[in-house]
Amino acid sequence: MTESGKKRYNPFYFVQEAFKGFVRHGIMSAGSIIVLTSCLVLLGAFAALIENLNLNLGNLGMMKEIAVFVDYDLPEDKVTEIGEEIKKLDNVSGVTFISKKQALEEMKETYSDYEELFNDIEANGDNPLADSFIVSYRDNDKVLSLESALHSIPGVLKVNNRLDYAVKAENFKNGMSLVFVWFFLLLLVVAVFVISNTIRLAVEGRREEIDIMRYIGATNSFITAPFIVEGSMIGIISAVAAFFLDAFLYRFAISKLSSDLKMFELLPFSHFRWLFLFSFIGIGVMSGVLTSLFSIRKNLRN
Amino acid sequence: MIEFQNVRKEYADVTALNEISFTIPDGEFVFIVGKSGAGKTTVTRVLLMEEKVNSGHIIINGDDITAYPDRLIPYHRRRIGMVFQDFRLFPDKTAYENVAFAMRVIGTPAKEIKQRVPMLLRMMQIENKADHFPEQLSGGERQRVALARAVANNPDIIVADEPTGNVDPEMSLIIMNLLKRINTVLGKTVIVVTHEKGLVDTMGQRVITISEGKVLSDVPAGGAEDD
Repeated sequence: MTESGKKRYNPFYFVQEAFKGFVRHGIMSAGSIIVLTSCLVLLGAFAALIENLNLNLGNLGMMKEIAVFVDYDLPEDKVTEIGEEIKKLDNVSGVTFISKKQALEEMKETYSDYEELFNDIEANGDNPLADSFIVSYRDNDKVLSLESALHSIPGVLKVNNRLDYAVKAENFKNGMSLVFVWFFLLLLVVAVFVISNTIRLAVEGRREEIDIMRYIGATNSFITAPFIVEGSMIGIISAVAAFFLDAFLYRFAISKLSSDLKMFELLPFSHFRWLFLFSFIGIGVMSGVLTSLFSIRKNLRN
Repeated sequence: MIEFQNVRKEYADVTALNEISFTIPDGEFVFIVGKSGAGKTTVTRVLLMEEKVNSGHIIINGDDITAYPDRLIPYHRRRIGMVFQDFRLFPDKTAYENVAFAMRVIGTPAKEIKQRVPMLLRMMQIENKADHFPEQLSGGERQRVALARAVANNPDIIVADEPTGNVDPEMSLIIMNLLKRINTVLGKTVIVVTHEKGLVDTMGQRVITISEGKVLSDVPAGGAEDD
């Protein structure tokens, strides 16, 4: 005997049966969708964060600038002298002087909500800032020797290389990645657990029907197909819900943050749109289908 | 032809079938009788490959089914139409849908299902209840739907396990006559497992009696006991 009796099945039957199962265990289905959606929303939020961090880290690295602050009470001619000395250093392509008055004005503009605080400082004539130079350089590889040369100039108080910020941000990004990966995995495990229980209930609810199907010669694939379709329905609904939630949350976050984070460039949601949609559907359907497949195989064995 | 050759089936510490052997030629009507626990239901279970035998062979039309891999079980079951004491109909499907579903399971085209199902229901004299759900049918009517389903996919063999266990005596005879009709008109091999001696005597067919997992007697249709 062979499997020559194989024929084409009506796919509408599988969708119809999957829909029945989905409705019959509505609460469990909703639970599966909520957990899987949370998982995907988190994934999207993290991807958006990393993309924005990468863009701004790239911008920081591309700026090739070092901020040099001089001692607070240095006379004007001494400050000019330091500027001249900086210009003579190797790898320097330009030097811009920013007086402490200018720096205070810039700060007032950035933090316009605290205008009163700055007015008090100006009224007392106590400018707490220092004169500084923005030093542009040509070669990132020689930045360390330039930094040490700047440190050795008498009257220099502090040297801030923006690459340092980039390194700090990179470390922050790596730390965040680690926390995210664990959190994501934890949610995924919960999602798999809830989906597998939903499918297990669906199998239990149809145990008698499955037995009859076996007696009349139904293949395993015919019996399992409705459950696989049910799993993929959970995956697709979760993916679409997560996509719209992420779109809403991201746009909301941008509208709130763009005024506070003027120095950062923030990507629009359209930048992520297709990536999010397709990866969410991919992950959602994969987790729904694989979990269903595993759950039904395990439950049908008995 | 169905051949049981020294078939042994053991459960934990019980021997359900003890080196049992018999042959059923194509198109025969056979009763398998015996007391409760004699092993008659085990015969149907190993025939359907619900259970694997411990030793021996079951040959159907020249194929040793005990050597079949698991993936062939569904295809093997399509050669056997099963009828149960408790009917085993889908409760949420009408009589028509129950029969149609058996055909859908093996991928029969919708057009063929539409043509064949009314004909089968007519044959089982239940066509006027086609749109009734099982709970709206009497025991005898349910069993007639089950019979229509059993022959829906044109199997070679019909196995009925206590088919009259849940119907009244009058209906029992009707069911038996329908099984006989399936045997004579459609030419199917019919195996009926039962403990109703009166019904068996009325039908006058071959009777294999099983006791303690062995063939106690094998009486041919209307004839004397074989050795």
